Parts: sequence; structure tokens; C-alpha cells
Amino acid sequence: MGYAAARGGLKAIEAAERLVARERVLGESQWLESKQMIEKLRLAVDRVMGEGGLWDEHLAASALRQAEGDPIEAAHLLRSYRSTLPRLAYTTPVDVDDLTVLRRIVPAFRNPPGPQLLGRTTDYTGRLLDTDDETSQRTAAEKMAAFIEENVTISKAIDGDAEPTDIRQPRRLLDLLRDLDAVVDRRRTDDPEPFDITRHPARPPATRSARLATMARAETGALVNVWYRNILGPDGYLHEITLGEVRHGRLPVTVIHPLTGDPVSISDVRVTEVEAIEDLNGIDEDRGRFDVGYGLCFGHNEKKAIAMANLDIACERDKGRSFLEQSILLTTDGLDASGFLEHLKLPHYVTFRSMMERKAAIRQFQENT
Amino acid sequence: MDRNRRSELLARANSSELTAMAEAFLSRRSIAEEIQVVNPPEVGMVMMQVREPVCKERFHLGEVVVTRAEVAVAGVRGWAMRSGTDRETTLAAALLDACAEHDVELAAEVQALCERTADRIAADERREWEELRATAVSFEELD
Amino acid sequence: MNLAIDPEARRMPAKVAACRFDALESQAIFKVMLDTTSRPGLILDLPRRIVDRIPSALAPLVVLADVETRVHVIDTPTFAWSEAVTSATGARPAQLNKADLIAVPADGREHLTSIFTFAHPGSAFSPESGARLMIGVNDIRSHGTSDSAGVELVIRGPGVEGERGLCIDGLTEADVNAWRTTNSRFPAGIDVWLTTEAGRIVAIPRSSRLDVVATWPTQERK
Repeated sequence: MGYAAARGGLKAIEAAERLVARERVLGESQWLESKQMIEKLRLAVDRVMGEGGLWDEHLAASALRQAEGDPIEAAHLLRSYRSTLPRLAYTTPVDVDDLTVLRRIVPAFRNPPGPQLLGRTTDYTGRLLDTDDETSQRTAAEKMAAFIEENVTISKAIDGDAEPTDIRQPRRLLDLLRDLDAVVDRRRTDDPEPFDITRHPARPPATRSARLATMARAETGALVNVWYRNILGPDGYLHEITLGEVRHGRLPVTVIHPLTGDPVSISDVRVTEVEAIEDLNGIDEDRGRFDVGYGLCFGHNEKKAIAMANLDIACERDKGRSFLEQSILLTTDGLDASGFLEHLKLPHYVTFRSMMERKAAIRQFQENT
Repeated sequence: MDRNRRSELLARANSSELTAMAEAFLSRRSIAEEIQVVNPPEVGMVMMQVREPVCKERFHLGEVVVTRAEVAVAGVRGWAMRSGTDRETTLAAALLDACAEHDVELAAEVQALCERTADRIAADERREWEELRATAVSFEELD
Repeated sequence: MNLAIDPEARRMPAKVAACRFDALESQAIFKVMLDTTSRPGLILDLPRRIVDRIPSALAPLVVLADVETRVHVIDTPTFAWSEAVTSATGARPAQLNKADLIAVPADGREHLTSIFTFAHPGSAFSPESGARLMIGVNDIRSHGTSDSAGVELVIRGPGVEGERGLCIDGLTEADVNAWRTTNSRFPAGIDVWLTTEAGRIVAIPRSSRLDVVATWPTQERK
């Protein structure tokens, strides 16, 4: 079993790729349109954008199609693509108070400022698998669509008579808690420069901006897992928070106009935003008040934003005493984890051969002594 | 309509409307002979900085794919940045921006296009809210 | 009816467009920068089509500038490019001691000593944040001649076998002394490219040791 440098496999690789392309692109069904995925597999597309750290619905849909529906692989494709693009600008700091809500619930408080707006969700619907055939499902959906049409009355177009901003941009529960002096005030005035995780790897002890940016593009399952193992698992440092705000809505993308020097809003992105209210009970903490954790990510992904908000405040309270921050910074990135895992499939012929030889040498030594 | 507002609406206008108007402008010799592409359309990203409410700290949410272009007409510069990867439409938007700065008559046409866009966005938002408002919860007090 | 526009603003779009390089052009300039940096004191030529378009000293700066870099371009009565550079590259204009990239035209020479003194050399922990300077000079030659002007330098260090001579018309001994002082805390330091209007280019990175062996009065620029 001697070692000889070898090459080959190109023909096999090409044949393997052909098999994928035949099913993925042709198959026996229709071409899977991007628009179809953006409309009907919205949460998958949103997840890919969030974990890819790149907002573009069409590119995310293409990635999902190319990855045969594997969201981690799709996010990987999106990250590869983003590495080919120049950074043209930074947005002006977008205040999250400018979020226009599509959904907004406040689990902590029945009558918050603004509405409890369910938006587009099946959160409160029984999880019954619909086994009806397509025609029946279509008929049922058409009835629902007709119901919406009949019941929606579009108010007349009068300038300045749009819906009041306190409904679409409701005041947040945090502000109410501040009015009641029920929350510790951690507002800063020094406005530190945010950490750029796309340029430097974030390592503990990290700034909060590094942790938030890392979690915003973390893999959903990984973040949920870190959260859960800290709630119920061996790490056990986390409190179960009470959710203040859970919002899904649009944030403006605002850049400086190069010829006027003023901020202009060129587009919107959809985001999920969560405020997590934490019950402070440590001896060195202000036990008469709450504190708040924050979660925000691209697209509609409430699981991720809730885990993020709870982990944000948990990290703040932990102050580096446990491995929590390290777990978040080093083990929640989908590309990092899956890339390392996938590399195990590459040929390891040489390293394994050397391990075999070591084993044989040890056995020989054992037999001779 | 000021220049900033015009850029916001050119960034959100329909692709077909923008390219049709840009082609109509280009068929005028006074424009075609004076046009200069200063920055050809380029696909890139803007890093989205957000300010969160707990500590009022900024952090990087992620990047947004955009295309930007810059065109001059007789030395008058026009700029556009739109989300997505559509180079042709972005170039058209930059051309319309330059034309609107350069020529009062064309400015009126561009303004009309922008106003139509603003109306469409407002109508979409009204429709969206009318659909959403039915999902607002009204609680009944229980004794 | 056309709106009035002042002549300098009217030239601006052409200047911005001149600062836009396509991928092949960027690559060609970058290759020359790499080659000159690997062999300090070796005189090469920038691509002709670039030199015809923008002042030579700007080419290396524009290639490296983007939205994440801070630039300081010295404007003079005959050289007003700073706005075009920032407009084309998205780089942020910065004060001299904060800039990553600095360009000085040949007629901005009176600033040189202070530029060499105040350009940011980075630190031992982050030598990569040291500034890169692109300086226009009147002439660059490998040997002094009877009509030589400026300074004659000897360069030693990595990339130079033994030593290499260089005559620069457009630098003074005071400039070189300020430069040497700034580079005295290696690996912190500044990297310098010198260019002529004709497109000759030479690099003297911070790893090179510089000695002035002769000086002549710098010729008046025509």
C-alpha cells in the first residue's frame, strides 16, 4: 500500500454533475421559477438571505434552486457570490424605529401602544397537514382570496391621509417600560464604530455590535440550538425571557446621494425584529428593573430573531463567565460549520495512510516488548 | 420635487417605464450628442448599518445588492442606485436624473414619471394596510 | 433651455470617467505596482492608455481606492482631481495624517517634507495600516548624468541585489530625511511610488534602506 501521487476523477465529477442537472433543471416537472419560490417558499428564501448576509430575493431564489432546496448550501452559494461584489457604500445608520410593520405582536402586554397585528401568519392555526388534492386546495384558497377582495375597502386617495404612522410604526414596548422607569438604561452616547464581521473574524471578548452582526447572519438551526442548550441543556445559564416586541416589516435602505450629500432611501428590506424582556435577579444587578435583549435579521424568521434577542441579553449578563459568547461567535455560522464538515468528504488518502503507518508501528512495538 | 426625492422615486420606478423614457430622450440629438457615461452601471453591495433601540448602538445587519450608475448630459451629472442587479434600468434612471437637471422640459416629463411612481407606491401601501388591518386583534373583556 | 453650469463643473464628469478603470486596466496597473514593489528602485512604465488619460501619480491610488479607504489628494492650481477621485472610487477624503492613500502632483512639491513627516506609518501591531504615497516627480533615472537634478539615492534591502542607484528630480534631501525618519520604526512605515508625467514608475517600499549620495538643485518645472 505505497503512496503515489495521483490525479483523476474529472470525468466522474462531470458525470455526477450531469445527473444533478438533469433532475434539477429538467426532471419530469416544470422549471422552478424564482418568482414561484419568492411567493410560495417565502420563508426559505428569507432564511437564505439572512444566513447568506445578503439581501436580494431573486439571487436567493436562484441559490435555493441550484442547491436543490438545501438552505445551508444556498446560503453558501450566496456568500460565494457576495465575495465577488464590490462594496459600493454604507447605508446611513437606519433607525429601527423607522420599521413599517407587516406584523407586530406584543406577547408581554395586552394593550401596547399601537395594534396587536397578526399579519400574514398561521401561528394560531392548527397544524393539520392538508392532504387534499391540488384542485380542492386551490378551490379553498380561491374562496379565501375572494373573501379578502370582498372585505377590503380601499380608502380614497387623499394626500396626507395615509394610515397614521402610530399604527404602521407603533411605539415600542421598550419606550413604554422606559416611561414607567421599569427598565435599566443602557443607552450610549459615544456611538462606537460597528465591528465588521465580513472583514475581521469576531473573537471573544467581542463588542456587542460584533455579536449582533454574527447572530444576524448565523444559521437558524445553530442559533436555536445554542439558545435551547442554554435553556434546558448542560450550559443552563439562560433565563426564559418574555417577548416584548415581535415585528416583521420593512426598513428603508438609505444611502448618501453623492451629488447632493443628503440621505436618500433607495429601497426597502424586510426584517424580523424582537425585543426580549429579561428579569434581572443577580446580586450585582438592579433587581427592581428589567433589562432588554435585541434581535434583528433579514427576512421573516421569527425563530432566529427570538433566539438572537434572548442570547443578546444572556451574553450581556454573562459577562464572559461561561462559554456562551464563544459559542455564539465561533459556532453559529452556517458557512463555517458546514464548510468544515463538508471538507471531510475530500480525499484524505495521504493523512490516513500516515495514520495507518503509525498504528502499524505501535502494534509492532507492542508485539516486540 | 427636489432632487433627493426624485432619486428615491427613480430607484423605485417600474423598469419598463424608465427604459422607455430613456430611449425616447436618447432619440433627441441634443441629448444623444451630449451624453457621457461617467460611471458605467456596476453591481455591488451596500452594507446596511442599523441603530438598535436598547443601547442605541449601530451594528451591521448585512449587505444589500444594488446597482448604481452615473451619467452626464452636457457636463450635468445624474446618478442612480437601485436595488437588484438590473444594469440597464439603473443606467436609464441615471440618464433621466441627468436630463432632469439639464433641461427644464425633460424635467417635467421625469417629474410626471416620479409622481406616477409615488402614487403607485401610496396605493400599494393603502391596499396593504386595508388587508392587514383585518388581522389586528380586538380583545373582549371577560368577567 | 439648458441650465448654466460653470466650466470646472463641466469638466468634472470627464475627470470622473477618466478615473474609472476596467478590470484589465486595473490588473495591468496593479501588476506594475507589484513588480516595482518587488524590485525597489527598478524603473518600469505604466500602461500608455492610462497615462494618456489621468496624471500618472493618480493611477496607483485609484487602483487601490474604494469605499473602505481614506484618501488625501493634494490639489494645486494645475491639478484638481481630488473630487473626481473620491467620486469615482467612493473613497472618503481624509486629513493627511488619517489617509490610507496619498497622491501628490509634481507641482505640489512644497508639501512633500510635511507629507513624509505626517503620513500615517501604522504601528508594529498593524503595519498594514501604514499609508501608501503616490508622488509625481519631474524625472526618474537610474544613473546621474551631467545635467542631473534633485537627489541621487542608493537603495538596499529586500528585492535589491547589493544596491541600486536612483536619481530623482523632484525630491530634496530634506524630503528624504523626513521619509527615512517616518520609516525608522519598521514594520511600521510608508510605501512610496514615484511617477513621472511620461508614466515612468518606481517603488520604494518601507523595507528598503535609503541613502542620499548626492544632491543637485531641483530644476524648475516648465
